[in-house]
Amino acid sequence: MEIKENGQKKLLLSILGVAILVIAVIGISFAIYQTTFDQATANSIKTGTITVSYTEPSNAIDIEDAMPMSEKTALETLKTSNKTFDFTVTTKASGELTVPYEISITKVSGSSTLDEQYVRVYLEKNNGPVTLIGENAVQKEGLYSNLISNLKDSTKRQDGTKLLYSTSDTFDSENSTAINTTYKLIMWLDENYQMDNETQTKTYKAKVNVDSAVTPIAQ
Amino acid sequence: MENSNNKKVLMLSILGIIVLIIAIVGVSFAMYTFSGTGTKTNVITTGTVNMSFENGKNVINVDNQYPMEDSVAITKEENQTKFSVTANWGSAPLAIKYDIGILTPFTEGDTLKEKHIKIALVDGSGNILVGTQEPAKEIEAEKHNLTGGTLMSELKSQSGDLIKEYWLANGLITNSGQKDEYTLYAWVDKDYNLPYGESNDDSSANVEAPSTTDGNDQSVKHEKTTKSETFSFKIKVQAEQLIDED
Repeated sequence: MEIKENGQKKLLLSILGVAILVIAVIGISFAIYQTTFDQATANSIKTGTITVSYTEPSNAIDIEDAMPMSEKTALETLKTSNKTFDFTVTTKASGELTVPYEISITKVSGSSTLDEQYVRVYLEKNNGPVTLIGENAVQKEGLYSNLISNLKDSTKRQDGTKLLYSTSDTFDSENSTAINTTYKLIMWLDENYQMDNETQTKTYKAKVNVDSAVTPIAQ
Repeated sequence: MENSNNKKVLMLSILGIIVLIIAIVGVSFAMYTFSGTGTKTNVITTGTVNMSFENGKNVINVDNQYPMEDSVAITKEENQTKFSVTANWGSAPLAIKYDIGILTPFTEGDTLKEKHIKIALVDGSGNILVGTQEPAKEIEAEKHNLTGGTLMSELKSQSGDLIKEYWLANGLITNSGQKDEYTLYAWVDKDYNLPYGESNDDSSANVEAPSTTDGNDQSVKHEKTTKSETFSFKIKVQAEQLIDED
């Protein structure tokens, strides 16, 4: 009896010892304190919107039997006879942003027989003249218009398109109302064109473009 | 004489039985008992650990943001949020380690994805934990030399002890009341192209046919508008008591 009891005691002690050993080995990797918590409200980024629109009139410039004329004469006669191309550019940004755009003119190939060096263009912005910057010729003092051949090449188009004017509209978080800008384009035959005994009429056809490329906000 | 003997035997028997009964149950009867109840209470109270994640400044909640260069983004207050990680407990010697990360899943737009969002994280001492920085130099008080962020998509493979993806930083709190402060930056990267919404042309005015008309004058309008998208995410903190294995 005594031997059996001793045997049982030894067995119990062994089991207890093993249990303690197991706990000692495994128990170190259990942290007493653990927690996880998440931000209550999410961080949120919503992008803004950009709108650019170009509204052109139903009727384009169409001058028949054009004669060479000075800028002064052209503006007086062509404006009063509504031989102008009036169009609108509208920009809008919902947030703080600068929206640039450029206005250019592209000759319609195959339909134009009159050299661009004899076609003069004039542009008004909100009823005020814009000086058209040219590359190759000195702009005459007091003249806002320029020969199409003198104009710089467009940065947005690669087909010989000429740049008339570039500008930008600025929006901030307090002012996101659309900006409407009206333009008036007038074209005529430059006064230096030599009319000789031509048996065939010559024409110049062109279309007006508006291009805008907004770049990421930078310093 | 015989009667007297019988009586003695009976008495002894009764006495023996009584003794036997007492012997069986009587061990619990002490001749003298004493019971004294203590008036001093011995107490063991477990310590409590109270951790919190406090948003000092409001969370980043930006409307009408456009893609921007890093150099501009890090200067804008609206792109920043401050938070802190704190822990309080009793006087027991204790250390708590924690990881900071981005909680998944987060919410992307149709085209505005994690690869278009930049993140930067700076601690209270001006150390850049996530993002790019100028070469090491002395940091002025309350300043830092942060120059840019890291695309969130590149953080997916970042792993710490406790947070296994989108891990941002870790810390160790060794004193009750210790408060570790952080500033998180987030913005739309400059390489994100705003998606177009409704449009009636490809932004070219050289169209032969009118696309829309306006009233009776038959003017032609060409218009293109971008679409707004939203990206949202939360910060996560995971903490664990540091066990001394010595």
